[in-house]
Amino acid sequence: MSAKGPMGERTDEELMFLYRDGVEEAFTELVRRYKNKIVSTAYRVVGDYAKAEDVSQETFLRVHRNADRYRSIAKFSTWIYTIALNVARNELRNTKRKRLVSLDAFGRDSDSDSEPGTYDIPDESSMPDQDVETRELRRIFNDAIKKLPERYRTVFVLRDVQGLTYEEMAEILKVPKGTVKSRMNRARLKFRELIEPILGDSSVDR
Amino acid sequence: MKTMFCNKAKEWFSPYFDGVLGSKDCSKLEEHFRVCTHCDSDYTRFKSLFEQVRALPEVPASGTFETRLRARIRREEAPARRSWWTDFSRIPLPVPLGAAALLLIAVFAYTRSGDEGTPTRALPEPGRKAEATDSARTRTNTLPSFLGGRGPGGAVGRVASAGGGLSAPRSHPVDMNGVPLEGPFFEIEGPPSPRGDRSSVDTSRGR
Repeated sequence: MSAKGPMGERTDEELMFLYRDGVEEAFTELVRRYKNKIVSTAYRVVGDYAKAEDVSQETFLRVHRNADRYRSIAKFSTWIYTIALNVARNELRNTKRKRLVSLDAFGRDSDSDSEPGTYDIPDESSMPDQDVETRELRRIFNDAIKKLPERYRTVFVLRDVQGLTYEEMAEILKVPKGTVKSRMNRARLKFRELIEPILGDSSVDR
Repeated sequence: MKTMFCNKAKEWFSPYFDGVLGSKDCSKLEEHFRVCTHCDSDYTRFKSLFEQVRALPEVPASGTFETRLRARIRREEAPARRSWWTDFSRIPLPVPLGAAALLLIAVFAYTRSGDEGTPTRALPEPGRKAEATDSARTRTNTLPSFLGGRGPGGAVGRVASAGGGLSAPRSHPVDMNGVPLEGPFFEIEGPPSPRGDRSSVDTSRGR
């Protein structure tokens, strides 16, 4: 495959084949395209920013190591998300083994650095257009996502945060589409249960 | 007022929101929204909440992410620094073990041949000097001079004394340990000559 033409115009799969053939620039472009998506996904699955960066670095390292084996049977995005979730799950398992994760009560001031799972996302302060209320809402959402059981959290993040389709999720998670739908439903119901008491929405089932 | 169908409707919120609810079920749900204000307003809140979730911004990678990643890839691809230990440890274990075993066997055999029982040399024939077939002497003769063998000049090597330095040549031939080579079968006739004739000493032992 010719390396001519700007990398930005290539599809992910073309970039992967170029990298397989030794074009370093192709990998740089892939990292540029996916680093935020992967960090974002990893962060919402593992709940800690530093660990999310480690997970993401390991994800790209595995892409690099397995470049020779890449085949366009699956979309590149499906492939990289699969790797990222596997690495994130391993990280969660290791974390569980090391310490108990204390569940924060909702509504408690969680800006303490000593609490496990707190984070400091970079550039949060560089978004001046986001008012305090929006940022507070975002914090509440992120906390609620962390509280979801792992398998609900995964589908929730892939669908509602990353915008993947049900078909893509089924391929990544290696479960039937019906299972994805069912988990998605449960995940959203659970999320609502966690969020509505905080937001003051008392419209629960009567 | 809540109806039996309301529970079913709630189960359909999620696929309906994602556009994956079958068309028949879609129609039923939309019809229910028309008659059930509770479910209709509940779905409105549901939709609003998850549209806000979808608007969550991406969590950006740090500014040093790419630099660190490149460094890690370079580290992985760099050849490992080799040390003598790395080279040595690559030798399959049986090789040095085998070499050590052979060395031990050789030393053992060497020392054993000097310790074997009474030499079985034939008595020298009358008038005939016993041949110097003493294995110790032979051994001595084949040893380097610093170990008690013959030096370049042919002289019998000297044996180190217990005090450490070299002693003067003994009047009697001695073995490796400095034990005079004499026994019931030998007749010590005098100090061995530097070269050749060692007929005065018959210290042959079977090797």
